[in-house]
Parts: sequence; structure tokens; C-alpha cells
Amino acid sequence: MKDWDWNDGQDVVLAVKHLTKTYGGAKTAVDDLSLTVHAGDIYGFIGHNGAGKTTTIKCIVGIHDADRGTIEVAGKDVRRDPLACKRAMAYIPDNPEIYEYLTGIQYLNFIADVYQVSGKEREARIRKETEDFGIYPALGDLISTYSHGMKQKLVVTGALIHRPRLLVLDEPFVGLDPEASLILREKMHALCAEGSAIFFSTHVLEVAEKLCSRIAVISGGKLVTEGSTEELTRDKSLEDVFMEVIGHVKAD
Amino acid sequence: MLRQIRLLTGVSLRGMFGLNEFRYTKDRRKKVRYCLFGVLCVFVILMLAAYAGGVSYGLILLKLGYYVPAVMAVCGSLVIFFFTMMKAGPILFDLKAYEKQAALPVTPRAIIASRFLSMYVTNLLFGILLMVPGLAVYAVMEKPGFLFWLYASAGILFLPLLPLTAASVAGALISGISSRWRQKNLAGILLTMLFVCVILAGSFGLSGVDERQMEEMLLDAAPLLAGQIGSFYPPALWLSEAVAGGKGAYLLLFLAVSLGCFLVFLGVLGRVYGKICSLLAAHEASGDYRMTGLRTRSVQGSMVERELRRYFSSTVYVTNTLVGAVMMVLFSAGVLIAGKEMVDQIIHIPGLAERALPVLIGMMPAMMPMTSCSISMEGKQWWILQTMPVTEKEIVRGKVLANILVLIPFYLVSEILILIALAPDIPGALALIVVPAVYIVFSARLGVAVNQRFPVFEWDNEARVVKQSASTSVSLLLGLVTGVIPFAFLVLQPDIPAWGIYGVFTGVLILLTAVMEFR
Repeated sequence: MKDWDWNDGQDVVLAVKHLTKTYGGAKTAVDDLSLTVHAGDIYGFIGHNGAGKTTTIKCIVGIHDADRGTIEVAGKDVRRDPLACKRAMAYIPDNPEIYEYLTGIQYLNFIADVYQVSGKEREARIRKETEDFGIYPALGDLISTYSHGMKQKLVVTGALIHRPRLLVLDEPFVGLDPEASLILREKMHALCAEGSAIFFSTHVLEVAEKLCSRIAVISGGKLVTEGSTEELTRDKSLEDVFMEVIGHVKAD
Repeated sequence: MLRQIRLLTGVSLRGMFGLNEFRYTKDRRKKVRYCLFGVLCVFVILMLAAYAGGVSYGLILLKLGYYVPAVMAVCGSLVIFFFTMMKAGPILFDLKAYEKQAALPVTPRAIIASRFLSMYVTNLLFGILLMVPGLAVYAVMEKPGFLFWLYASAGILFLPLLPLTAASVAGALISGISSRWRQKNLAGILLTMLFVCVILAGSFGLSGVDERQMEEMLLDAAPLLAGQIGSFYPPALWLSEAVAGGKGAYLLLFLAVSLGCFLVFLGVLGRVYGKICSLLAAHEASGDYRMTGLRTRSVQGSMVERELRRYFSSTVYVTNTLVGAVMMVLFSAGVLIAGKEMVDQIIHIPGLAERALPVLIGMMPAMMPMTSCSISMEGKQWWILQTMPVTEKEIVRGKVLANILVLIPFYLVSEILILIALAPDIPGALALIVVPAVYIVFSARLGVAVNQRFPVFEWDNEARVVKQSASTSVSLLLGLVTGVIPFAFLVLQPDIPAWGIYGVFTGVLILLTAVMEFR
């Protein structure tokens, strides 16, 4: 395959409409959630443990089916055209569970094969990303010998290999050292500058406040507030805003 | 230390057979799947009970009731040994679990004992399933006293210890030797397969009781049976002396030898356990990678390549699923060396060998296809395939093709050997070539279909998926059924030519494969 068609004219990269997901018909993990992510956005998705962040993300990337509602990635419906949506995005989970029986380069080459990235491009991108993260010399070793942080860096490299239109990350900074966190933030900005969008969940409110252009807060599976970081915070910190809206929800 | 062992074993047992998940899951579909698996287990248990009861009944009619406990003990011990042999090493030296447990205030001996006990509990079930129906038939017909029940209970409880220790010794030796090699997985696979070959070749040899021996057995049955059991597995005879003969000293001997062997093994392994674990955990990381042109492949080619790498990275996966293919080659080699009369002796139906060989050879690799747990083996890494732009068909085909590629060398060698051995006519040769090939393709596709119905992604040890999952059990049963049906026709309908039966049957298998593939 070729890379994602950058001139698809889609400003809305991710549109979630009335998403509802229940587990086993009992617990409603996500309840009528709607949000929109535009090209160039770094969209922070915050909430406490069990709020429904990971379930939302898993519905977006195709791991879970939604019970109700629609999800569109660059204008394509995730349910009707899953392959096109998956080609346009990349997902980085909170825990880098990857094929430990492969070497780092075998894993990246496998990802590049599946996304059909040409030989020359994959070589250049793998070299660039892994050198930035400092894991290039270890690419010939089995992933089982990697530390948690090295695995996370490898997953990030794999996610960037096909220049995704939408990058979805679940707690991406867990396990990364400070230098790698900084590099990842730079890469997120660079990807957005090219016209992609980033949707990520985090507990670290300081990171979200500094990094995100837009923020959504989820509680009990419902979206409780959403807007640009500037609008939401104004003269307060994101932590204050978060505690305030969560407090209101609890009081209700 | 007993408390440590109890706690560690308790945690391990909760994960076995998915019992904890069944108890606490709120997912109704999962509950239904577990219930279906339960029904299957009950069916297998009833079959085993009927078999054990039937053997016991037959022995009593032949005035050999005294040896019912011994025969049951031999069968139970053999089953336990075979089922444990290929998983003992991976379970005893489960490094991930060891890393978690080693940080706790527990001794290595407690860790080993708990792992051993987890295996003991599952094997005790096998022991009970074979011994209880056999002994119950004996009790109904012979009406023994109280001591029979007391000694039998003690015997059943201790029965798994010896075969389990023997299988664990083999597993520990293989792990210990492989840990010193650079390619640890490959070494483990090769050593285990070598061990399996030796045992299988030996058991093929044992199966060949010829007609003269059979006549002798019927004329002078009791001493001959006692002699055979005594030379093969003496502790089984001690159990008969104790349970049927009421001799307490033999029971004490049986218990002491079983427990003694286990304790000696525990003591020796406790000394070298940490060393073997650290050697197995030591992976070499050179950290000097230089990029020299990356090879590009098609999506399907890449999926197959990854599947093969996954397969050969796991000793327990390879050894358990490749045993059928190895048996196929050994069987063909046996026919070449000993002639097709060997097959007649094994199946005890003279003259059937030539008609039944295609199905016998085809069944062997089809009983335990690697695809039957290939989805479950993705484990916590399943998210990668779920989020990739690949279709379900591409994933399935990757797994099926990998299975076929692994079996092709075994199939070719087996075919060459059997064709040389039998020198059949054209219809016979066609049946020998086509039937096993169709079996291999069908079972590979069926394995994935079954695993799609019964996937397990949350597991800590690969043996849980390969040896204890619903998917592999259902695949095994279906493999047996697909073998037994044409076999039954061949036996019951001797007037219908074999090529006719095979023609219809392979047609049905090809149709079923196509339905699974294109539905």
C-alpha cells in the first residue's frame, strides 16, 4: 500500500457519535458518548480509573464492537469499512504486549509488511525513529530481552511506520524515561503538523494540559466536559477543572 | 513450608481449566462455552468409565480379577506419564511465574512442590477416572471387604506420584540440558521429540503380541499377565497384592516408593532449580544491529512467516502438536521394516491393514493440529492482529498454511516409506496419497474453526492453552470421530471397495473444508 492519502479533504479525522458499550449486557462502560477530533488536534481524553477511557479507545481501534452509535475515521465507518479505518490509524496500548519471540527488526518489518510500506521508506523510517529513541542497536535482539520502556519505544516506532492519519494512544507515557517522553511529545507535535490527529488517554493532567489542544473529561462512561484546553482552563489548572467537574457529577 | 505450598498451589489451580473464570465471569457467552465444554468432559468421562469397567469385567470373566487393580494402575500411570511428559518441563520451569513467585518469601522447594502438586491434582483426576469404574465393577462382582476400599483409596491417591515424578525427571533433564545451549527452545524441542520417538518406537514394539503369545496367555493366563505387568511396571503388581489380596505390606511398599521417589526428586531439583532457571532466562543480547536491506513480503506471506516463528518459539506447543506427525513417520517406517502384518497385530483385525492404512496414517497428524490452539496462543498479543488492517480470512489462512507447511516434510517422508513398503496398485496408491493429504488440510482448517469458538487469551503458561483448553479437547475428539467413521465402514462393510469409501469420505471432508473457508 501507499501511505495514507493526505489530500483526502477530511478535516474531521475522528467522529464518535452516541457511542454506547455495555459488557455482558450488565455494566454500561460507555454511555451515549460523542466527540470530534480534527486534523492537527492533540486530543486528551481524561478520567479516573474505570471511567470508560480504554473501552472507548478499544471501540475506536476495532478491538470491541459498539452496542450503539457510530465511529468514523477520516470519513470511513469503522463497522462498515474496518480495513480502511485501520490502515488510516495506529494504536499504542498502555501495556506493550508484543511478540517476544521476534527480534525488534522482525517485528517492525512484519508491521511494515502488513501496512505495505515500501522497502526504502520502511528502512528510512525505522532507522530514523529507532535512532531517535536510542533502540537502533538493539533491533537485532529478541524482544524478550527488552525492558518495558524499550518495548514501548518499539511499539511507538511500529505505530509511526505508515504515517497514520490518526494515532490513538492509551496512557502512552507510562514506562517511558523522561528523555523518551520528551521525544514522543515532539513526535506527536510533528505528526499533527503534517495533518494527522492524535487521540490519547492519560491520568497525568500536567502532561495533558501542556500537550493537548483539546481535552475531554469522561466519568461513569459519560462525557462530562469537552473543549479546547484554553477554554477549559482559563485561569485555573486542569487539575482544578477535573476535580470540579468530577465533583459536580458525583454530587448529581 | 506446607502453608507456602498450599497457597501457591491454590493460586495455580484457580487458573486451571478456566474454573475461576467460569465462576466469576459475567459474560453469558463465556458461561455457555464453559458449559458446552463441561458436557464434552462428561461425555469423555463416561467413555473412559465404560472402557475401564469393560476391561475389568472382561478380566474377571477370564478369572483374572485379582489383577484388575494392576491393569488399571498400568493404564492410569501410562496415561498420566504421556499427558505430563511434554508439559512437565515448561510448567516446572515457568520463568514468568518464577519471577513473580521468587520475590515472595517462599523457598524454591515450595515453588517446585506447588507446581508439582498442581499437575498432581489434574493427574489424580485421570487416576480416579480409570481406577474407580474398574474397581467398582470388581467390587460388585467379587464383593470384597472393608480393607479393599481402604487400600484402594490410598492406592488411588498415591497412584499419580510415580508417573508424575518420572515425567518430571524427563522434563527437568530436557530443560536442564537445553538451558546450556544457545538455541534453548530448539534444543528443548529436539530433545523432547527424540524422547517421544524412543517411547513411541518402544510402544509400537510392545503392541505386537502375536497369536502364539495370545494362545499361551489364554492357557496359562494369570502367571503370564503377572509376569508382563511385573516386568513392565512392578508397583502396579504391588497394588494388586494390596487391594485384591489384602496384603498391607505391599500397600506400604507402594506408598513408600511413590512418596520416596517424589521426595528425592524434590530434594535434588531444589538444589539445581535456581541455576537452571537463570540459565534458561539468560538470553543473549548483542546490541550491535546493522541494517542491511529489509525484505518485503505480501501480507499473507508475512502472516505465515510470523505464525511459523511463533510456533517454533514454544517447546510445549511444538512437542504436543507435532507428536502426531512423528507418529505418522514412525508408523510408516514400522510398516516398511516389519511389514503390514504389524498393523494387523496392532488393530487385531487380520487383513484390514491394506484397507485401513490411508485413514490410520491420515488420522495421526489430524488428531492434534497446531491450529487448534493457534488463536489462543496469541494471548495478550491478540490486540495486534485485531487492530491491524488484515481480514479475518488472512489471519485464518496464515494459521492454516503454517500448519500445512510444518506437516509437509513429515507427510512426504511418511508417504515415500509407506509406498515403498506396500508397493500398491494405482487406486491403493491414490488412496494412500490423497486421504492423509485431505486429513491434514481439513484438520488444519477445523482446528482454527474450533479455536474461534473456544478462544482463551488470558493465560500464564502455554501448557494451559495447549493441553488443558476446550479447543484442543474438542479438536481431538472431532479428529477421532473423523477417523473412526471411515474406519467403521471399512470394518463393517468389507464388500464395499476401500476406494469407494475413501472417495465418498474425502469428498465430504473437502466439502466441509470449503464450507468453513468460504462461508
